[in-house]
Amino acid sequence: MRVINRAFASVAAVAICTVSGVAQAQPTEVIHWWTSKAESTGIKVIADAFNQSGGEWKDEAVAGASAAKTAAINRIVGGNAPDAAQFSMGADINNLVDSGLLANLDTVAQSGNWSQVIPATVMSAITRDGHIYAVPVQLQATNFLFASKVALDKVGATMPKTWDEFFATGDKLRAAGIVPYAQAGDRDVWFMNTFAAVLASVGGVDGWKQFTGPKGADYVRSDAFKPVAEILAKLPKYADSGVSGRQWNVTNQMILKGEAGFFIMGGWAIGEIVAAGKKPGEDVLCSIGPNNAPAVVNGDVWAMPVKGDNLTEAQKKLAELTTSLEVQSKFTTAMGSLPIRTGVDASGYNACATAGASAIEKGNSVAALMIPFSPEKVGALGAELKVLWAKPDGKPDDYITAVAGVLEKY
Amino acid sequence: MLPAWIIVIGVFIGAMIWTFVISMTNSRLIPIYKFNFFDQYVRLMNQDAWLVSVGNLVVFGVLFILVCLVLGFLMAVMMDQKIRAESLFRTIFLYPYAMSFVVTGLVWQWVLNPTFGIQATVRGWGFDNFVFDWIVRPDRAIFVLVLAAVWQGSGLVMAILLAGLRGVDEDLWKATKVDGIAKWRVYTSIVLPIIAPMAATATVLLSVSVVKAYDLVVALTGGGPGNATEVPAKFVMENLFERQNVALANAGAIMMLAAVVVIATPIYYARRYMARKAAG
Repeated sequence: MRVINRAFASVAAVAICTVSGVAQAQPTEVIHWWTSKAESTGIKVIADAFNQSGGEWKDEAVAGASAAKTAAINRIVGGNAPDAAQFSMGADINNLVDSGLLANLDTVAQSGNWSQVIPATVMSAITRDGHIYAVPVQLQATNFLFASKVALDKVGATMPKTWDEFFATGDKLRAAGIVPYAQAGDRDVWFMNTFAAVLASVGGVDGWKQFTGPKGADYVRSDAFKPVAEILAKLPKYADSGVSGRQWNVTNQMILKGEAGFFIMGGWAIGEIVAAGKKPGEDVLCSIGPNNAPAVVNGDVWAMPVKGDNLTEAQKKLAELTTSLEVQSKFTTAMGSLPIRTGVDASGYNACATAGASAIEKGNSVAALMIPFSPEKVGALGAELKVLWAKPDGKPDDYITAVAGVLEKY
Repeated sequence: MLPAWIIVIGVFIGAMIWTFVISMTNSRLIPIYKFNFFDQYVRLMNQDAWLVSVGNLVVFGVLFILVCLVLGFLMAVMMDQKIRAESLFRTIFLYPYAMSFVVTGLVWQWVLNPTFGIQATVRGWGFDNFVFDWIVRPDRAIFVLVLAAVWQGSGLVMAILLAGLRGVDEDLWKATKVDGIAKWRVYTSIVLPIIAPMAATATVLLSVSVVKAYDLVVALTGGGPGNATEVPAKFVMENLFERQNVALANAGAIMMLAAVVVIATPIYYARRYMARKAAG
C-alpha cells in the first residue's frame, strides 16, 4: 500500500510542478513536543523563518517528550524518517548515532562557525567522536531557586545568599505558618533536579566536574561532598507532607499564592509565572541556586536523520536558521528559554532569564546530568533520591551511600 | 472467520514472540539484534526497583482480590434480597467501574492528599490534631491503593455474582426453607459452590487488572512515596520510554506475562473441572 501511495504522491507532485512550472520545495517534516501556548509561539518563529527562506515547513507536533521521541524513533527505524526531530541534549541521541541513523553536520557547523559562537558545554553535548550530530535549539537553566515575594515579606526576609540563610528563613516561614520549601514529586526527575541544584551550589564548576568524571564515587565519599548530603537530608524536613505525586506546576502555584516560600525548578517555570500574570523577579524572586551557583544547563536539539547520501538542502537550511542570531533571539524570548549562542540580544528577557543568560555567557555553567549520564543512570539516581526523600529519618550518610552506589553501578 | 484468526494469532502471538526476542538482546533506545540471551533477566532479578515492585504487587493483588470478592459477594447477596430500587443500587455500585483508573486515581489523590483533602478539611473544622495521611506514608500508601482499586472493582464482582445468584433454582430456596436451614448456611454451603465458576471468572478479571495496574498508580501516587507503591508495569513503562532500556523493559513484560499464565491457567482448569463435574 505504502509503495502505491508513494507512487501516486510522486506522480501528483510531478504533475503539480509541470502545471505550475515552478519547482516546489519538498515539505520538510519536523517532529517536536512544543505544544503549550508559549511553546507553539516559539516554534512558529522557526517555522516562519524557514518558510520565508523558501522552504515548506510541515509541523508534526506530538504532545509529551517521550511520546514525540517514540514517534520519531519509530519512523526513523521504520524507514520513513522525518527531516528533523526534537531530542534532549546529550545521551538521548547516542543510540541513533551508533546505528548510523543521524546525518553528520560537520559542514554546517564549520560554515556557521559553531565552535566560536556556541559554548563548549553545548558543543560537547552534540559531538560524538569528533563529529557533530545535532543542531542545538535552546537551553534551559534547570537550577533556579524561586521564592515567593509575599511570603518573604511576611517574615521580613530577603533572597538567601547561602544555604544557612535559606534554612534560617525557612524556620521563620514555618513559624509564620508558611510551607518553607515546596518540592514537586510526581516524577523521579524532580528529585534529581533538586539534587543537581544543591550539588552545583556547593561544589561549583569544579565539584560538578569531579562528580560527573570517572572518579565520581570517590568525590561523593570525600569531605567536599558532605555539605551536599547534609543539605539534602535537611530539605525534606522543611517541606510539607503533600510532596508525593504532586506535579511541578501545582508546586509553582503554591509559590504564586504565597503558600510556600521556596521552590527549585528549571527555567520553564518562568513561563508559567508570566502566564499567571505575575512578574518574574518582582512577584516571584529568583536566583540560580543560592551561593551564585553555576547554571546547570540542559537543552533541546534537532536530530537530523540520514536522507540519501548527503544532508538535504532543507536540513541544512533548518540548521543554519535555527542557530542564527535573529531566530535565536526571537525564539528564546517567545519560549522563555536561553540562547544556544553568544551575542544574542537579551533586552527582551525578563529578570530571571537574564540571570541565566549572563551566567552562561560568562562561562559559569555546567552541563546537566542528562548530558554526560545515560538515561538509565539518571533514572536510577532520581529513583534513589525519591526513596530517600520519603524516608522519615534520612541521614546524610544514606545519601552518600546511595549516590555513590548509583555512580558505581551504572 | 479464518482471516480474523490469522490476525489474532499474528498480532498477539507475533507481538509476544517479538517482545521475547527483544528481551534476549542488548537493545537500548532502538531494537538491536545482538543477542545476550538471559542477561536481561539476570539484571532484572538483581534490580531492587524490580523486586520492590513485584513485592508491592503481591501485597496489593492479594488484598485487592480478597476484599473485592468478599465485598462484591456481600453486596450481591444484599441485592438478592428483593430490595426496592434495586436497579438504582446496581447502577450506583457498578458506576465506579465505568470510570477510568486515571479518574479514580486523581479523585482519590485529591481526597486523601493531606494538604487539601480529608485531613485538611477536618482540621479546618477545628480538630487540629486530626491525622489521615496514609497516602504520603511509605508503610501505608499501598493500602490506599487497595482502597481506591476496591472502590472501583467490587461493583463488577457484585454484578457477576448477582447474575450467578439469580441463576440459582427457586426450588432450592423453597426446599431449604421447608427444612428450616438458616439463610447464611444456605449461602455458604449450597449457593457458594454453585456460583463458584462465576467467582472464578471474577477472580481472573481481577487478577488481570492487578498485573496491569499502572494508570491507577501513576494517577494516585506516582509510585511514591519513595518506592512504596511502585509496580512492575510502571517499571516496564519507565524503562521503555524514559530510561531507554527497551530490552530490560521487555524482559519485565515477559515476566508479567508469565505471572498471568501462572495465575490464570490453574483457575481456567479448575473452572473446566467444576463445569464438567456439574454436568455430571
